[in-house]
Amino acid sequence: MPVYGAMQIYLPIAEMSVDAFLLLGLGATVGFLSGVFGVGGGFLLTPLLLFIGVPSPIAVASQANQLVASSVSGVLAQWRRGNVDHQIGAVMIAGGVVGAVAGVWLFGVLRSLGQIDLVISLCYVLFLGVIGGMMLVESLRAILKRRRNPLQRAKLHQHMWIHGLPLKMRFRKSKLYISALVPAAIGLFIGLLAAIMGVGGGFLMIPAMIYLLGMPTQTVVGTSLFQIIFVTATVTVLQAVQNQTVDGVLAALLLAGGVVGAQFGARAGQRLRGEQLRALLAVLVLAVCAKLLIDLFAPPPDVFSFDYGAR
Amino acid sequence: MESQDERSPAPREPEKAGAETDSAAKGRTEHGRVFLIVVDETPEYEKALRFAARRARRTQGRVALLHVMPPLDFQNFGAVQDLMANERRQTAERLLQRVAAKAQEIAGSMPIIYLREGSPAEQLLKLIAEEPQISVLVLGGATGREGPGPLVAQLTGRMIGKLRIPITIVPGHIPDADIDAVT
Repeated sequence: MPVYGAMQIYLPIAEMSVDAFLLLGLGATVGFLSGVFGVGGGFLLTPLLLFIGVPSPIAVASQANQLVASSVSGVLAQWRRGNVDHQIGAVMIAGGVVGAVAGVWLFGVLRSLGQIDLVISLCYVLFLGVIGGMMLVESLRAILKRRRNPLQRAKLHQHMWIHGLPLKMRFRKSKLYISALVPAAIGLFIGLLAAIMGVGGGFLMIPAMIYLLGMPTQTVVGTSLFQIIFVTATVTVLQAVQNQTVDGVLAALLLAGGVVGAQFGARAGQRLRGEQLRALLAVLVLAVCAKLLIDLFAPPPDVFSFDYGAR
Repeated sequence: MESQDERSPAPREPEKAGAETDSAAKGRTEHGRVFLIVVDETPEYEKALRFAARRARRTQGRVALLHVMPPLDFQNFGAVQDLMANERRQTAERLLQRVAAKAQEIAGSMPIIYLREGSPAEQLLKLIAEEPQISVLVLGGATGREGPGPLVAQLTGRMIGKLRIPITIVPGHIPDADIDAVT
């Protein structure tokens, strides 16, 4: 880390000194982006923290609680419009908490095996690559004026294997009569992702809720935020208690920057909607993915080093 | 565009027998007042609708319905965003169809329908500024503990200076019979 006589601050859990303004700036940048794109920003913040040298277990665990803050403010607006389906949300939270517990346990096991850095990087490369690629193809098609595949939802009475599952429940708000196992399974997977990658998972959850559950789009965003709050809160507490990987100083600095950045981002985003915005996000996601991929294969500057951090 | 045409000094011909129904068909009402109401998911708008529609019937005016759709959040996937836009539009159209049928039943004439997107108060002011034919705004006021609702609170508060036309506020607890008595 180059030092310009800036305000160095010691991160007690990450066991490193970082320029406080760098972290504030990082938080502000990601906050700005999440304000523009309306996404949690978790899947950009973790790689950026890795790039400045924060150990990946600490980066992942510390930024999960960022999502609690941004999701709370997001869900309040949706709540007022009556766009939160508490019933489905509760089932998804139940699944999500189980997933979070399993994920944090798996996180601990991988860490003791010394493989957690690799797994986190691989997961990020995979998800960023697939999602960035899909978004880029989609937006390029739209920009080139080719018709977008409408990707219609399944017909209302079309029978899929999902509808044969037991434990059917009636969800009044979303007007659904489906097996509770499906939302619980989606929640479980999102809980695992939140524990291992530190992301809220809205980018996967929202399509899954629309196309697998058949939820009306009006309630999807609010309900997914509702679920993210509880799952990321669970993950944060479990990571702190079980793996001791939550760095309060790091989280606080990122949060402070994030709150300011999000205000400006939301304003900028209103002017910038549309396909260009989507293409921009796709390029950004792919660039971060490429950098992670290069770091995976590039020989480290100090070949003979051991990870003392793993306890 | 349409309002541009209206303002241009077109040579006025002396009114013929069929002129009135003709202009009404074009959405212009030179003779009657246009009562604008805001249609949303609250129960109060029904009182405003009843008041406006009965006033319109009595004065040979018309009812105008405005529904403001909430803005869409950005979605990572364009297909998801398109689906959201479609469903939002369908929901809005269904609501407006239902309300328009009721308005026509009471007022006896087809309502004018406006569908906008964004913040309700902002869009409402913009519409009133754009459409010189709108003559009265009728709002329903909620009577719960949380106040009269955001639109009434904003328009009777700081935004009242931007209004070109009078507002009528119909409290939500008034029974239909009492509304009928004063219209």
